[in-house]
Amino acid sequence: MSVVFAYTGSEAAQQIVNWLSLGSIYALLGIGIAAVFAVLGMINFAHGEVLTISGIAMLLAGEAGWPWESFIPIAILTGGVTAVLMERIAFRPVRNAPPLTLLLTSLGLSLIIQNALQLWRGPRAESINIPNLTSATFHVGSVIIQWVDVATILTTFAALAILNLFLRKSVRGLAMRASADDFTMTRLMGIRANTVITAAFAVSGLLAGIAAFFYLGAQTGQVGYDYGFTPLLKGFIAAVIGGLGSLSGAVLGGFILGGLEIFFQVTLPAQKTPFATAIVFGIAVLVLLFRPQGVLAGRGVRIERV
Amino acid sequence: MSAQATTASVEGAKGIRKAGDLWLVRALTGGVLTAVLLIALMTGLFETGTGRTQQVVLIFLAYLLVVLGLQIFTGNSGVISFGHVAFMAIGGYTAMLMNLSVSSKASQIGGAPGFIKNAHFAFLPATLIGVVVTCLIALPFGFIFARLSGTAAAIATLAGYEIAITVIANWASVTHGTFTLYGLSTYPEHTLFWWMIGWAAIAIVIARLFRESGLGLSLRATSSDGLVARAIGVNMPLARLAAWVLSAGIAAVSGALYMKFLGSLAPTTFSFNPVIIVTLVMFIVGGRSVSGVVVGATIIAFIDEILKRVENNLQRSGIEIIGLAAIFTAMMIFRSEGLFGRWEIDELAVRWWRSARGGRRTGKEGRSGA
Repeated sequence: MSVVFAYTGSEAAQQIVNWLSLGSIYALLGIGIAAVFAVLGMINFAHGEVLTISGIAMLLAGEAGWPWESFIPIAILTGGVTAVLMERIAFRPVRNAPPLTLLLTSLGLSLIIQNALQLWRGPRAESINIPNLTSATFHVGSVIIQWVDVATILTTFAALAILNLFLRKSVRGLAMRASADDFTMTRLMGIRANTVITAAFAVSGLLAGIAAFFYLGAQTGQVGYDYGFTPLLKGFIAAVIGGLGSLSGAVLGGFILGGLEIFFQVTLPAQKTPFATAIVFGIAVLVLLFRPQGVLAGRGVRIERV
Repeated sequence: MSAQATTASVEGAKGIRKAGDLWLVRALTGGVLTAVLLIALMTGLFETGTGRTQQVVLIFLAYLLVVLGLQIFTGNSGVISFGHVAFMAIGGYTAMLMNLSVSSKASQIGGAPGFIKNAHFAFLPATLIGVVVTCLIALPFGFIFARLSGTAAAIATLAGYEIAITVIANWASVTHGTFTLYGLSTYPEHTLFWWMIGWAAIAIVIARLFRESGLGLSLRATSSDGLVARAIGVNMPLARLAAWVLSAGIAAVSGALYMKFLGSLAPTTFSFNPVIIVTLVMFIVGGRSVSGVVVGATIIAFIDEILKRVENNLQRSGIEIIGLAAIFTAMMIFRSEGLFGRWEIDELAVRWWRSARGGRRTGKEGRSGA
């Protein structure tokens, strides 16, 4: 961070806003991966497709002439429903299979959804009918701030606060946290496995819907059948840095990942910035090797390391 | 009853020891048998087929090599890898840069270092340089990946794949960046076919030799039970590292052959869809055996070609992959251990022959398992 402060104050403030906004989206994606991993021990390769389907729902709403404000609930609901349906149709039949089989199932599901979408929408990306939100700005001193960044940050924090309440106060939320520690024991306490797993997928899908609105809707402005892949990778990395299966770790991981990307964009010379992605992935590999429990030490995450 | 069982287990133990002594003979016999079957089938298809069939055979053989490479690592260790298409890319690009004419390189990648710009090797040395470079890159990553299993390995190798593709797509002064690197003089189809089938046969025999060797056996032991294997003195990181580097080399050959077939390369050639297909073909259809991978990949390629023709006739892209995914799903449900499970085609033949002669004793061995 010291390099950021070597810049003038306003530039640093600008980058900090960018960082919080990017980190928010990565945190949402990271929780989506971590929540499912916590209860099933599976990394869900089809998580990116939840985002894509939410994006396509916004696309259809736009074509139907609905106002862009309606895209927010549409994206969130579509995300939640898609994720829960995925679990019901694809993952429940193989739930007791070894983790690698679950992983391959999610990989196959991702392949099927991507190509079904390609069959339906064609290979080209389509524009989501949304006003250019990135051009709406305001000034604080000499710092230019995009409203969309503010909205992203506030929405994410609001969503995290609600999630936190859910996890701490509701029975299902408590059951989810208990399952992340010891699934068998939680079931012995009389909690139905289906309830917990559905809740985990619902959380992961709803948050993916929020991410879809800001990432695909407000920032990219378009969606294609394969647009879920990059967000999926970011979610993986965020979840890995934070320690697979830890939700608060995934939030932290998302902000660390966003921070690293902004840091390299600021410090690397212009023609080298694409390599930032490679460096970030390299860091994730090193985290897996030396600190598989993630940066938030503590509760044991069961990664098999024979 | 118990006496019978004791006799059977003693005979079984003797059988294992005896077979262990002859592993070289068994590996060579089995490998050569599988290779000969493949050569016969592919030569028949290639010599009688139309231009389109010949193209399909060539693409299949190039991809068969990367699947065989993956078999050496994943098939023996049980650890998943998404990184082998990246090795294919590294081998392919290196071989292409070595094989491309100096004038083609001057016009496309004028900023490349001299030893790349002025190099012009024949195809075989270019391929071998690709193999060496890929193995050298695979080695340091191998030290990391040899210690990871399961989910962690999946994410780490995926990250490794992304690193390789990002570097290739952005190292414009050497790889031509996201643009296509083109201008390679290709071989006539027949010449290329003999190169490919030759390499495929070599790779099959190598994969089989590794599988039956001491290292391969200990690696397979770690995949059954890592702790027990280590308790009896298996050096798991070493066995994994050896398999990793060897499999990277085979994947590099695959990349070199594929680029010679295409005559050009772009980062999109090695996108994530091939990664998924290669992984699923190896893991779900091929299972743990070399011949299972060869037979499985052949069947999948055949079905894939039919699906492609349907897709072309209907003018809708997507049908091919959905059809393949349906097959993978069916395999996962009905035969999750792969086509032949952990058995090789020659082992199955021997067992079938023995049981056909009516040996009830040997029938006891006849259970399959993963």
